[in-house]
Order: sequence, then C-alpha cells, then structure tokens
Amino acid sequence: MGDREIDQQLVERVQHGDKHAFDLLVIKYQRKLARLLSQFIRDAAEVEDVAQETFIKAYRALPSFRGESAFYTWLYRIGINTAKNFLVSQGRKVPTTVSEFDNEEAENFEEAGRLREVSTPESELMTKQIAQTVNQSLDALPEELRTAIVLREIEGLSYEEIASIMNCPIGTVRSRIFRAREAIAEKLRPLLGTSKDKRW
Amino acid sequence: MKNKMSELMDGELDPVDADEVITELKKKHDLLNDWATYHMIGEALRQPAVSFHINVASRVSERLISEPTLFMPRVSQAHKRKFVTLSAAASCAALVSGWLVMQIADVQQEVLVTEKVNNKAVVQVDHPVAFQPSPAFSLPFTLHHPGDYSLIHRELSPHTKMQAPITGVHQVESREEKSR
Repeated sequence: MGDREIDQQLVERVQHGDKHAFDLLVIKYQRKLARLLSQFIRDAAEVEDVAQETFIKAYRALPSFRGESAFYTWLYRIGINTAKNFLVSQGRKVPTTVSEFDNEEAENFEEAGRLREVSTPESELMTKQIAQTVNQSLDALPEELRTAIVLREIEGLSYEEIASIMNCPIGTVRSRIFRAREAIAEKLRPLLGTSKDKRW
Repeated sequence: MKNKMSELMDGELDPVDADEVITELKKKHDLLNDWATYHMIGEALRQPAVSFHINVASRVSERLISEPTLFMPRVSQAHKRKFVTLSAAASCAALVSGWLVMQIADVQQEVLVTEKVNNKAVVQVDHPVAFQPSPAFSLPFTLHHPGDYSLIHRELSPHTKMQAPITGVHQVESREEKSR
C-alpha cells in the first residue's frame, strides 16, 4: 500500500461517514498546502485562513472525488482556486503564477525550492528550534537507526530496498525506523507541547 | 500500535492493519499527536528550512462539526459485484458458444470422415458397387472373416454409411494368411 493508497483509504472512510479520517489528511497536508499558498499570499494569518477554507471546500467536494488523481493533487487544485478567489475578493491582483500553476507543478513544487516562506519572528524561532531538535536527535541516534530513517525519509527508499542495503531482514528495518522516529519524537514533544490536553 | 502507524505512514502496512490503525487513531488522542509529530519529523529531515508554525488542523476539525456527514453509497463494491456477475455471464456464454461451435465442427468433421471412408472403400473394392441410400436400421454385421474387427466397428458406428462389401481387404488379408 503506497502513499496514494493510504490517502484513498482515508478519503473513502470520510466519504462513508468518518469525519475523523479527514483530520488525518489535514494534519498530513496542512504544511504542504500552506507552503503552496504562501507563494501567492504573504500574510501568515491569511495563509492559514485560505488553507482552512481549502480543506473545508475539499471536504464538501469529497463526494465528487473519484480517485482519478492523487488526493493531494486534487487538494492543491482546490487550494489554488481558493487562493485566487481570496485575492480577487480582496481586490488584489492575482499573480500570473497562480493561473499558470498546474498540477505537475503542484506535485513538484517542494522540490523546486522556490518557496516564499511565510514567517513571523515566532514562527521563525519555532522553525529553527524544531529543525535543530530534529537534527540533534538524529545525530544522537545509533548508527543503524540513523541510517534506516535517513534512507526512508530523505532517500525515500522502500523497506525492502533499505533491508537490502543494510543487509538485514525487513522486520528489522520496520523496527529501526519506528525506533528512530520515536526517539526523535520524544525530544520534540516538550517543544511542541503535544501533551494529552493539547491537540496538534 | 505506534509502530504500525509508522509503517502506515511509509505505505508499508497491509490494508487490514491500516484500517485498524486508522480506527485507533480515531479513538486515541495521543496517537493522533504522534501522527502529526511523525509527519513533522519527515518534513524536517527532508526540508530543514521548512516553516512548522502552520496548524489549521484543530480549526478545520472544529468547523467540520457543523458540516454534514458524508454518506456515499459504496458504489465501488456494487460495481465490483456487477462486474463479477457480468464476467461470469460472459464466460458462460463464451463456453456455450464454444461448445456449440465444437459440436458443429464435429458433425462436419464426421461427415468429412465418412466421405473419406466411403471414397476409400470405393477405391478398395475390386468391383465398383453403387452406393444405396442408408436404411433406417442396419442388420447385424455378419462376420465373414476374423480380421474384420475394424470393419465391424466402422459398420456399427452411426457415422459410417458403408453399404457395400469391401472385398478387396479380405482378399489382401487372405493372401497374407496364405503366404504365412
């Protein structure tokens, strides 16, 4: 089951009455979507508003989503249209890049490295702290855990490929990646304040 | 459960387990936080300069409360069942058609064989004998010679219409026996 299949499974659950499954999709894609929107909208609060509106529109349009395209491609299309409408409603000029932004670009925009980050002093500090904590935690990991998580998250390799490279069973790869994630998450939790009472 | 969630994120979990994890995520608040944190770790590793302050999940979740719940019919399952039924019907139709074609081909082949046998019989007979119309029934074949086993079969076969005695064969066999 690949990434697209996971999304499709979540979408189908939402389509059949499980609203909660939509939360998982929102958590997964909120930052990606916000980064996309920040190309056209400078204000951080406005980006959040448009992102929120995009997700609500997507939820309402889910009955028409048949899975012909990947969920995030479909979501980004809604996001761009929402951003365009927002700019028009504010009497602002719609950048030509919004009109020209097609699906392929939406899928690859992260790799393009041409994001305009929405930043405030607080968000910059938070971003730096998170990045620093993740990097420090990664460096502190035992080598086999570090290699496994890097091969998965940065190189994007499958468990089978990692097992082949690290010359170990797939079960070991599963365990190493989970342990690496959990070790980094343990350091991040105080920073994020993700206690039982606070929802991320 | 967290380890399964980790596998789910990587697309390495089978659909049954994935379904179980998603259901658990619905029930357990901590697990949902971990889902968010694990995704953040991935993004931080891939793009260290990424901004993490965006968080609309809770606001969207609150707004969803007032949104109607979607109840779409499970069209895909119905389509699947319909597709299987139609496939089965098509397969049956193809089998019946094939069987009918084979039957027709068999009859044609039998006619052809009969014609060939008859022609052969005509060639083999010492004296040309005119073929007579097939009778409604045939009398039991009288065994004239012990070597007539195959001929008996031919005669008893419903597809064979040989009416004339095949004397040439008898003569050949008789000659062979004599020579022994």
